Amino acid sequence: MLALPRLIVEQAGTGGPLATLLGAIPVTLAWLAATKLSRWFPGRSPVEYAPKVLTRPVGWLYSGALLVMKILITALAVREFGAVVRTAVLPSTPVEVTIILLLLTTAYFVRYDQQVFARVFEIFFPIMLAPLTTICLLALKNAHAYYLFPLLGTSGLGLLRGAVLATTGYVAYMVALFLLPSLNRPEKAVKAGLVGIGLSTFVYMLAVSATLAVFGLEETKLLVWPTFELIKNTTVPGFILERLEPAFLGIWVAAVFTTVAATYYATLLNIAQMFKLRDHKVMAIPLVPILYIIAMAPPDVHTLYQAGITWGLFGVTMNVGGPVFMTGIARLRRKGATRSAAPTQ
Amino acid sequence: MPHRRSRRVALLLTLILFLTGCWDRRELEERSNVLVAGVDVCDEGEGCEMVVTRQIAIPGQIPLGGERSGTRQADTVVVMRTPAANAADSLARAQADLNWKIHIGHNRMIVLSEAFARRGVAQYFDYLRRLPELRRLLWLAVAEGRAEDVLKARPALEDVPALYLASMLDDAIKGGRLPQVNVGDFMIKTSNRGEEAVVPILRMAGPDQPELAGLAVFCGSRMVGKLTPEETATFQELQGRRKGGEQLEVTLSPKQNATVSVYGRGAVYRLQWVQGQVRVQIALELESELIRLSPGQTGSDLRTLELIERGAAKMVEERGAALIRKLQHEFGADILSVGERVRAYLPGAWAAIPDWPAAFAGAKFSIDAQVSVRRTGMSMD
Repeated sequence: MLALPRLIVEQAGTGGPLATLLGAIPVTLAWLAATKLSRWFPGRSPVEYAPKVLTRPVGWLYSGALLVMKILITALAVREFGAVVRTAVLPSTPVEVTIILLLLTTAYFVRYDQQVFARVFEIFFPIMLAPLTTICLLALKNAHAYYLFPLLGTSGLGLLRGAVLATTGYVAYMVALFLLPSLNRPEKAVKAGLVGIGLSTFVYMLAVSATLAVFGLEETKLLVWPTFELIKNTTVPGFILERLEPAFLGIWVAAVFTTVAATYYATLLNIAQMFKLRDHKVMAIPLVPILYIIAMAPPDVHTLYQAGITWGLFGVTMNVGGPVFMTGIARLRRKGATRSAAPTQ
Repeated sequence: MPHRRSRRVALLLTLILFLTGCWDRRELEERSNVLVAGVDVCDEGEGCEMVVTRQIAIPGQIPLGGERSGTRQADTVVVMRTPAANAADSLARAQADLNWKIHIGHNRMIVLSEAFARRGVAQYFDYLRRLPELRRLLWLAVAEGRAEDVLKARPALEDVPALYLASMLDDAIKGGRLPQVNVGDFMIKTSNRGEEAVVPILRMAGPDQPELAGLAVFCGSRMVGKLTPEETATFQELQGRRKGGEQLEVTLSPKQNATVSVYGRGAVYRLQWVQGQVRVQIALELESELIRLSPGQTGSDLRTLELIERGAAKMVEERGAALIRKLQHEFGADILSVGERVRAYLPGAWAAIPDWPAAFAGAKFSIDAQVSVRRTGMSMD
């Protein structure tokens, strides 16, 4: 969220906002495919139906890849959090401390079941969405319309690259795939997912557009965390709060927590289902040191973002390519419940 | 059960230990808060690259809430002068002279001396850009003469000199007399390829009397020239900064003249790319009110107003054209962001232009101004 505008603008130039919108398309397709699969295999998650669709060894390999990707994405998100806190907020607090505290809090939280999980997210959702939108709108006071043009950017290839990068911003949608089997009313899943993707597209586009409109093309590329700089560049009219960063950072900690918790939780489900464990909880604590080691692996911020891009693309291939590919195969091999049958419940 | 409960209580009590604070705890009084920083070039024979002067708040002496408790102004801040090799070095050297860690998070303003600005500020701003605690909304000014003198000034109207300087700029910007210029804006304009930055100039009118004296024009990160206060008003008109602030003296006939006060502005840029040349049509709209009319013909009937409007429009057009000529040929600095507009709306042309400053100097401008006099004050006459 903090670095995304820079990563996209580096590739797509002023086409950044459009690239963000385009990036949502593959995710939407994947969501449609995944909900179809979950209707063909009611009550089963991707890890459970992949071996049936793709044959056992390939399915297992795919589930393994999903697992690796989730672990990496969780670890990198934790590390980014550590890097921002260390650079911008608490310069003398060791990164290790921030990271371990975040991991432990998350590990504690993900031991609960899906209901608690869903409710916490429900509470956090408006607390995060409202201020972020407000800040972006307030920032527009210093915006120039001409910074946003040309809307298509200057190179088609760049736009495409930007779109692919933007897709990595949506990979956390995979968490929803693991929640699909436990929905009370699965028939509503398609719509709910589309609303979710739509909302995150809106927020991402707002952030990218606001950054670009305030800073312009070249300045955006120079900022490590453009969204953060955007907040530093914004005041609330009336000067009640002259600096918004502290308020924003509070919200941002919640945002990171939910992201990490979501991917962490999906990782646990992935493990539990792959190895047919009865309970996902057992792995919550053992995973902490593994995540910690991976999080601490990148030696510097540049390597961190390089790794983020590489593994993000791997994640996109697995998460977006996977479901679409599997729907095709499932149809060819005629696997899954009969399509005419009513959803079993 | 009691056993389990006591274990929980013990756990909770342990957790309290984590709440006591963290590595970064620092009380407000345990900081040396810099309020204004000034940057000068070194005097001859001083053997350094730059001199940074810092106005540092004396803890507990900054009056809170406007109550003047008889504290003499000289007591609210100390001014420290540090010659150094570069910005980072200057901070380290200044730190050696202070008991508490220097904190720049409360800095209100950076003043660059003209000599320093003319030498180029790229290196200094690279340093600022990397500082996480730096505020992008920090005010920025160029001092005519030495920055140190601006920092040493003790304006009588405000207890804290830094606040006097900050509110001076803030109010001028709110009133439309100055363009919005803070450190963030400066960084943006020096980074983006199709625009150049301006910075307000402070001049010492008396030992304790700083005054605003127009704008410093930058080309890249080097100061290349100055705009007078009148040219600054014209610059604001050309930019179409909505809030107006200037007065226009209009001559109607050899005997009669009038003053209108501009309160609203608007500018629309139309760009064309014709045979390798950028053509810019600027349509200006100014809203004003009549504040003075020399006696002569009977007052503000429609014909007189029309004459004033036409005279003012002609004046605005001429001033604008003169300023643009100066920017094109004397400074070679596109402070009107024309280049960014070309990049945005004529991407084909932008790709074909190898060097924007040269193309800017060769661009053709035409200005069409329209001034409306909306009110005549409290007098019908």
